Amino acid sequence: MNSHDGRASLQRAFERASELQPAGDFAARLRDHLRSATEAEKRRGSGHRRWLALVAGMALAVGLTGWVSQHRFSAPLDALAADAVGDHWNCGLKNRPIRTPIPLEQAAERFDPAYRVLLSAPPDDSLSRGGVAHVLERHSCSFGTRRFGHVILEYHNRIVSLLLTQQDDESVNDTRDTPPRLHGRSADGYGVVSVHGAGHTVLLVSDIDAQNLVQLSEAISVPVIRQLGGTVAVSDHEPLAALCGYPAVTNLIVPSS
Amino acid sequence: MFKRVAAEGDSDVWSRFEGEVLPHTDRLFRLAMWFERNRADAEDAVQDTMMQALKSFHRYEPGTNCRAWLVTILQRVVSNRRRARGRWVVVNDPDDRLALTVPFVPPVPQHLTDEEMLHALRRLPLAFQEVILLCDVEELTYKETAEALGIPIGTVMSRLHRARGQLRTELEATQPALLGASGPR
Repeated sequence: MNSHDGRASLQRAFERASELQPAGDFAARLRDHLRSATEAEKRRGSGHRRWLALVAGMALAVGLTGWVSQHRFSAPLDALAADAVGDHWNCGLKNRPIRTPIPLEQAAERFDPAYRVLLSAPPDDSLSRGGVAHVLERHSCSFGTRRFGHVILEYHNRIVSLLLTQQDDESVNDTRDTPPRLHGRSADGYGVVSVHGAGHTVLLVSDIDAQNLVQLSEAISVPVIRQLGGTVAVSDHEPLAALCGYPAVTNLIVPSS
Repeated sequence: MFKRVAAEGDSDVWSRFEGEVLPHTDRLFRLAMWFERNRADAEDAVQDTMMQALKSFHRYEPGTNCRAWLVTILQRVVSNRRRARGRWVVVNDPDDRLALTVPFVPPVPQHLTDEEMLHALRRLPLAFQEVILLCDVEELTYKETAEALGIPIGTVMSRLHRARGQLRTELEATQPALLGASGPR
């Protein structure tokens, strides 16, 4: 038997093995599932467009054009928020990161010295206007092609992820330092607040309410950016976005449990 | 993204997906079943794979090897699921270490049953099973296999060589009587 015969025998054995065959209805079930998932996404998409139209009308009515301009969403920002939610879900909540997390020190040497800041910031117990956030774990991990410095915190018995990543041309349109900005809430209920500065973005992801998430971002994300050399200013008034609630993030992928 | 599927002429995209991707379901399932060893887990893995394929179907280039693209996604899905279950297969340098386990490469014996072939394959280290399944069973190129497994092409080639050698050793052990006639080693 030559190697070609051996390969053919193996292929035949694999194709004929009864224990490896799918159930008779599996292909049909799979097809239906995929089809319905596509339909559901289409409905969500049209709902999102209706929501946007409503918000646009309200914004015009109350003269909030400036706010809308400041808080408009862009596809690249959505992609960053989606990656942050994905990492929060996989690594922070399910402990099943795409690639094995590595120590921050190692990540600082291999990828970005900025990750070293997360060794001590935020402190193990951080006080925000809404309460105390306690650090559970610090490491570096990645989701898709994006690498993060990841600090997992507990806040009001909920898990919060603080994710530090480098800004790139695709992640932001405007590289100026910016105060906490809402990206939106995913279909699964995870909100994202980002702060930009010093060439980096710090994202806070959790299912806590919008106002708490923004307050927590002011308390723990902003100091991280400042330690990196950013000059982020935090306004004294409540962020309007927090009062309005979250619009939906587009293009968001949250792996199923 | 689904949104792109939904936006880009739904029925056209779905038809293309249905025509090009879904026919590979059975093959994907066999691979998933081999690695997961559990029907429910294998179905989940294939479903995850197809969902991801649908989301990124806009990146698939018609005319390229659709099966290789799907196998690459499946490999990532299975690998992530394995990690999630804590079934890590951590070997610092599997090729160097496992090379020591292939001291002799006998010829492939004749008259093997399907069951004997698969049992022999199952006895190989997982890294060897993967490369044999992808290169020999699924007929992916070295380059496609390298992408699917996330390893260099050179590693694929050397690992495949060693894997085939060890498979022949296992097959010989399956049928010692047959090989007894093949002469002294």
